[in-house]
Amino acid sequence: MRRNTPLLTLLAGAALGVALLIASMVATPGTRSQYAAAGTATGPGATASPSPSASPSPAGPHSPLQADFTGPVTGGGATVAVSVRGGKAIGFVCTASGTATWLRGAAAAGLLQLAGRDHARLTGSYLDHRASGRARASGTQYRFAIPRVHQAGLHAAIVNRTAAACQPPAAPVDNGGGGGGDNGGGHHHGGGGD
Amino acid sequence: MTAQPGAEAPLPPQSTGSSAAKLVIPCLIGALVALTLGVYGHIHQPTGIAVNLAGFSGPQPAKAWLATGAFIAAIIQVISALVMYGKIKVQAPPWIGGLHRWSGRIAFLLAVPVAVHCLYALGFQTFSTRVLIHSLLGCAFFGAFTVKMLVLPKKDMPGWLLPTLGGLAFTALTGVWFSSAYWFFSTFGIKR
Repeated sequence: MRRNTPLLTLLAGAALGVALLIASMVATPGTRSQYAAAGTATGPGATASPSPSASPSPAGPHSPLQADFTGPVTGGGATVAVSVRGGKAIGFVCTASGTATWLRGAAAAGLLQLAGRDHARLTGSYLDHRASGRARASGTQYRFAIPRVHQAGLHAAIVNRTAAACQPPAAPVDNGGGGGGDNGGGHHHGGGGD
Repeated sequence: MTAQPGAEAPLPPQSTGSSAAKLVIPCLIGALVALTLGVYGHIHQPTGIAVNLAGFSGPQPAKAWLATGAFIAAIIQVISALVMYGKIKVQAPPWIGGLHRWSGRIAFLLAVPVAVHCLYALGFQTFSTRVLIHSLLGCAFFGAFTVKMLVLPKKDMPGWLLPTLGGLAFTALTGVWFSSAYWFFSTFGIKR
């Protein structure tokens, strides 16, 4: 074997990998500059370039790296919340009875995959303004399409599994009885820093 | 883990010192490859996005299909190797060597873009058992494959060595596929 073809195979794969890596860096300038700015902040001689407008999440049609979503499930009966940070996601499903099921998992490339105790799971997708998918908690299947929210403390509340974060969905408006639970006012738990 | 065969090399009676010494450098390089991938995936801040392949609805299905292609090529690897070693009692066709080489190259080259996306966009993660196993085996696969490629051209190596290295690479790739593409298809459905 004159030519070392296995070595050529390795080198071809390495070259392909490096080329794709460079292409990825070029293709994601927003995130790169964000992290480059964070990285060079401590480096010497990097003060010449100002940090690029300090936007917390990169603009664009892709999925945000950091976002919170919450809202009622389709048809009511439970509230879902998902908080995305980098490649990770945490969240809960909160039933009408006030039982919270906590979930954690991955958020990658616009897809959510979370799991919790007793076979609870949440799968779906998310974009800049919306997350949708399916959840299963306490043996019940839900579908959800929930908006992005800017709710201070939601992420921290999920991290800490704060019971008050479990806000059961508001009772239907056609419920004329006196038991109409107006749950909108309970924001005492807000304000937790990330 | 790829450095362990060096310790077991004295076992075969005919291949002493010299072949064991020849194994040290490939194993070190393979271990370095696996370690480099893992460390890079750990320290690099995941971007969540990377270059994508046309024709797919997103990077996850693209990766799942690429990985499935690599896995199928790897199965061809095992079968062709079994034929070459006479473990499957059929008349080995003259093109079996070419089939083995090219299925290996295809498997490797299909796996590379998947790994680049994993490491660049997602990183080495540990938040669930599946993800931890996937991260570890993904790094181990490229380490084991590197060792096998570096050992292949060497003469006078013990006969069990290449099947062992190939088996390690195949086992790692199988685990990688089941912990990612199989999980993806069974969770989100078989879609492009």
